[in-house]
Amino acid sequence: MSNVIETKSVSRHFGKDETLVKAIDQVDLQIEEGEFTAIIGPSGSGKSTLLQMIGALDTPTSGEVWLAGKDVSAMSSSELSSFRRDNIGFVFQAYNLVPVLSARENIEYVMLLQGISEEERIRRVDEILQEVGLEGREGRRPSELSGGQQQRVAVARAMVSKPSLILADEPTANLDSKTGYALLDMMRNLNEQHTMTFVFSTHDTKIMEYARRIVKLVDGKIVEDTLK
Amino acid sequence: MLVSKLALRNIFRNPRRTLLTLLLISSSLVAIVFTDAFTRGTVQTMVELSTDSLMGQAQIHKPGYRQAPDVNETIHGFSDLASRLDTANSIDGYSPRTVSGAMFSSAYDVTGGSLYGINPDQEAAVTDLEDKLIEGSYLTEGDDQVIIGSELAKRLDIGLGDRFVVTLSRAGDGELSQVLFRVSGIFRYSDRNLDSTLAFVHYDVMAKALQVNGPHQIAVRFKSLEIADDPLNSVWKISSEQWEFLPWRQLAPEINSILEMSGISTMIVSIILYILVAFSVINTMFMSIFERHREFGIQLALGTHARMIFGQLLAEGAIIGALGVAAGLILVTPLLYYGATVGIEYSDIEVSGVAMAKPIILQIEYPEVAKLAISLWFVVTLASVYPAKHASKLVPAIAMRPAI
Ligand SMILES: Nc1ncnc2c1ncn2[C@@H]1O[C@H](COP(=O)(O)OP(=O)(O)OP(=O)(O)O)[C@@H](O)[C@H]1O
Ligand SMILES: [Mg+2]
Repeated sequence: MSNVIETKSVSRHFGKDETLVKAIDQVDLQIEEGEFTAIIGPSGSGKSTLLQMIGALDTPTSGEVWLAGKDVSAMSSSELSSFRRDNIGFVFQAYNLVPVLSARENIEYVMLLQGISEEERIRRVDEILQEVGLEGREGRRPSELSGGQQQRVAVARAMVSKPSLILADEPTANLDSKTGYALLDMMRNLNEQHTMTFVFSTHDTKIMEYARRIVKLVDGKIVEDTLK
Repeated sequence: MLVSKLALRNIFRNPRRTLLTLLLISSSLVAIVFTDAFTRGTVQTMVELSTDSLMGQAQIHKPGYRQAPDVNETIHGFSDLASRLDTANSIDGYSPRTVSGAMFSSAYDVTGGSLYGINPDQEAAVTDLEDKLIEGSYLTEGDDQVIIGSELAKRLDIGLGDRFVVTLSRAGDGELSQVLFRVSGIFRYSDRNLDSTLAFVHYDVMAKALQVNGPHQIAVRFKSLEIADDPLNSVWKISSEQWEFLPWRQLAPEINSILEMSGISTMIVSIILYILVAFSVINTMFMSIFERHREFGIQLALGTHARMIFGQLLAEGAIIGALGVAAGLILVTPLLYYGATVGIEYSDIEVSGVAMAKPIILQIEYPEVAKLAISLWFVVTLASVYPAKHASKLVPAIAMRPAI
């Protein structure tokens, strides 16, 4: 199987001299297509920073990040925008959605950027709304949805454009545990049905259970990599 | 599509802030447009008042007379000139005048001034002298009639029917000659200079006293005031080596220069308000952008290009500008309507030597209003470039910071 993600000795440092923080430090990580992987570690261990690197949201201080066979560490910010649009779906911890857009419009957003026809957009949004169990709520603004519903809209938005990779940074951190498990269940089902690669971070041990592979970070370095 | 939808919805997300910004933009436009119309109205009133009064809209003299007035310097070939003036179809009326410095005396006092000899009907067709009478009547038949200014009457302590003796120096030999008149009317222009120095008598009487056989000055009134400003009008062909024919702008350069400067007041008001509006828009947009950092981070993370974020904020600025300008135009309309129909009463205040004896009627110059509105819109849009640039440079990684 081919690697969707490959980092080559990637580091991201913040500040300098006394204030230098090596948020991630020479990380080598390969993630294959279709994986459902959790990145865990204590607070400040670099989980978000690593996800930023493999999500092409930020450029590394050193090292390379290869996504779907392309070296994203060498891309311009405009190339990165297009690359993220076409290849990566994101789910963040909270307040993921554009507040002035309805659930449907949020889900449509990336497809609009991609220039997908209206007919196709409607079809795909209807389909995914059903998969995430939000039929009938597509007209609501994020402020009119519960936290769990907002996260499901975010997952739907991340998936609807059929990216090869979905990155989720603590997607359940703002949800109660029951809603969190339901979200993970849903993500895993989608992962199995659509063979999309999922990488998510968490420090909730029960949430980790859903992963098939667990990568543990401490102080910006991978200290454990367990396959179940 | 997406850009304008986002822009529009974000504008109405914080209605109070948007409303305040719109209020500032619209009231600035009201102030700018009003200033422009008011300045034009003031100038127009000033011009009308001055051209309706003694000056007329244009004057004819013998070349050199204006620089050095002299009773000997009468207009040559007057009958020839008169027939040309009679046939010129842009001329509404003209009034030949004899003019001379003179000593005015009553039984009580004596003072200097200027005596004008006029043909009452011709003068009435050119200036508003007749309308300015506050006592007595306009010149009619009697050869000894004189009408004098109210201040002059006060100065000489005389009233209607009183004796008014004029001493002037004849043309040619310069001998003094004295003529006795009786006050038949008193006028008031509410202009100290006119009211305290002028007296009008019959043309023929004065010509005889001066021993001249032509006028010194011909005041002209056109069919419309615009003709005075149209150098291409054929009427100016009358101007020649023997007849100096000048429009009011050249006769009263001080009024003309006020007119030229009047544009500056609109400009100063506009510039001040443009700066104010620009800074306020920049400030408000930054406030709104800081509140939305995370959203922009998310939009960027999803693959939105920086230029679209830039476009979105520029669109927000342009829409706010357009709404503000539209609101301003709506607000200013009743004000302009009132000012252009009823006018603004300013009575008896002197502006640069011209008494504002009638209400100022606002002059609305539609192309100018359009220009001011478009420039204000442009200023608002331009002001949003800076915050828009800032937002487009945000890094997508902020999306991943825990929401505050
Ligand atoms: N923009 C930044 N500027 C400076 N330091 C940063 C920045 N982002 C992250 N860091 C530092 O890098 C380190 C790793 O941060 P990161 O957010 O990746 O940790 P994390 O594992 O996601 O933590 P948490 O579980 O609390 O979310 C921390 O020490 C953090 O303070
Ligand atoms: Mg984190």
